[in-house]
Amino acid sequence: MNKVFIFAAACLMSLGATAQQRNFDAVQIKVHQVAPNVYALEGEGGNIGVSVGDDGVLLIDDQFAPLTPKIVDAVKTITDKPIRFLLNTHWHGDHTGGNENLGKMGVIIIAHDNVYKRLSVDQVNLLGKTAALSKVGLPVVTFNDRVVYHINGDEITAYHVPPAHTDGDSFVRFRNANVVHTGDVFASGRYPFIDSTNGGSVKGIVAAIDKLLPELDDFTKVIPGHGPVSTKREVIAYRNMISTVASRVEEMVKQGKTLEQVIAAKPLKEFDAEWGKFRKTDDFIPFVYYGFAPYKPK
Amino acid sequence: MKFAVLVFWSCVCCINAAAQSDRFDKVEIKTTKLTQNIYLLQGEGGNIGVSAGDDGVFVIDDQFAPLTPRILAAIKAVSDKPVRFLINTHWHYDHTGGNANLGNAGVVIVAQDNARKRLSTKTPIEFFKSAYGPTPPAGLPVITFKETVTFHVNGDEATAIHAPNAHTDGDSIIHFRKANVVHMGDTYFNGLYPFIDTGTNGTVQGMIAAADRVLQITDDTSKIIPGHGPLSNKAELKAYRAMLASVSAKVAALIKEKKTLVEVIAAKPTKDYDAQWGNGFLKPEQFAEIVYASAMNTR
Repeated sequence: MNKVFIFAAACLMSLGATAQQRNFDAVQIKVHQVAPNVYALEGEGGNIGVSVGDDGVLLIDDQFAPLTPKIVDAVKTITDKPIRFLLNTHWHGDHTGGNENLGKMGVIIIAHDNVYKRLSVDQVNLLGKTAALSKVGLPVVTFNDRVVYHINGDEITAYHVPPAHTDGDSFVRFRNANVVHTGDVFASGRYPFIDSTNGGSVKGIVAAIDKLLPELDDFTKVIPGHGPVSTKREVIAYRNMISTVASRVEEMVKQGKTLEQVIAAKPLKEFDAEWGKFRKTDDFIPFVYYGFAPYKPK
Repeated sequence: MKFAVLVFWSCVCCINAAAQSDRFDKVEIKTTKLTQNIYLLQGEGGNIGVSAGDDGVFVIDDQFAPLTPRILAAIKAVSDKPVRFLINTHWHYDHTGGNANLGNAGVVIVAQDNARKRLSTKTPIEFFKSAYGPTPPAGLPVITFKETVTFHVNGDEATAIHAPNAHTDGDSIIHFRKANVVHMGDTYFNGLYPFIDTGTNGTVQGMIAAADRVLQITDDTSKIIPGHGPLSNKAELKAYRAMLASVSAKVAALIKEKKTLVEVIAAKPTKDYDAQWGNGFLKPEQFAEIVYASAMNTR
């Protein structure tokens, strides 16, 4: 089993440090219109949210560095206004990989305080190592609880939620457009990564989703960190899955079970058919497990 | 007394509306270098803080619209980098008058949520029976915050900290952590009684709390920029805080004795401080009235 886990971790590491060596040539950026002034860009890595209008472009996340030219081209197909702002929903490399490129273009990068802290020094997590960004890729404005962009006829609020996927997550809510970008606190229809060794936890995800749900109505478009543009219904289904997983694994940790024993017990088996298509259950359980048990590097 | 103030204020109104006046013709912007990267600019209106370095220029407050060219010239004299950010310490016109000019020049304006709210509509300053705004869209803050934002610029961390219900309900104090410099906006008037805009939810308690917060983050070598008055330091801020607390306590005691506003003013609750603080923008009676209004609002 250890081997399986190490192999899985090695595969997943490609999300972080080895992004540069990956070949992104075949990746195409798909543009989905979500509201009159709001778009979601899908390529490889976290979904990108885009606000367009007279005041210029706000990007939410920027995937991997090699994709920046394609992302910029995709934005050009929507608007001829410049990209002025970038918001990072959290520090992970599949959401911040383009920061240095965009920073060099003069884009103002904004994020929660903890995103700056993590991006400015090398990081290690269950997926591997991520090198610190150079100064030009770091957020220039950071916030402790929330900021509001008053642009493009909307009020776009980025607000920090207590540790969930990481310790620096933000939700981004478009008040008038009735759109929310959840970052990686919500992954639609799939098991998420949880940065449990850096402050993230399943319980934090449940708490964050519970904070989000009252803000959603039946018409709200939800751009997840990963997966298709969704609605409140998918968010509720995800919350129920995560909360069930959390209580089962927590119970097993309390009983003193090792990670291998938890995986062998198949605690998520009735969820696996629906949720295990992208990230396998055996790869997901360690992220949950280390939210309850201390992590000992192998 | 009231008449003189009204005359003064209606003049200010004309200036504000016409954005052109003899009043500003003779104003010169005086630049004082505080640290390697930080400058104090003084002209007319609130003191301006400037951080200039490799990442560009970060400006705190912008006085009156007609002064923008002179302010930009003063900045150019210390840096050839563009002005990238402007933070408004609060909504008042003597700190935000240049906003539309700078917004049109592409500067990103940042302020506390309530400062933008006040700038977006016509807002009265009840005490002076005047009203201002709305600020043109180009002059409104584009990014607003609730508690803190930190600018990672020019080798420093400059944190704008919201001071709740102090001079207004949208005040920010800007703390340059590495340079050990603080700009307090109008939560601090150095050497003159402070105006407290009780009509937009300013309170004397909030002013005292703002001073306490800054006293916690400063030391004897800190440089403290007040909203009005000369560059200051921790010892002077302590004296200001003591003055506020003392006048506030005296007024509160008089209110407890069921004294009316007229009686409170007649009791001269500020008299121990008038020699030092009473020769500025506000006369002692006006300051007593403001402290009284604050106490009544927060009862």
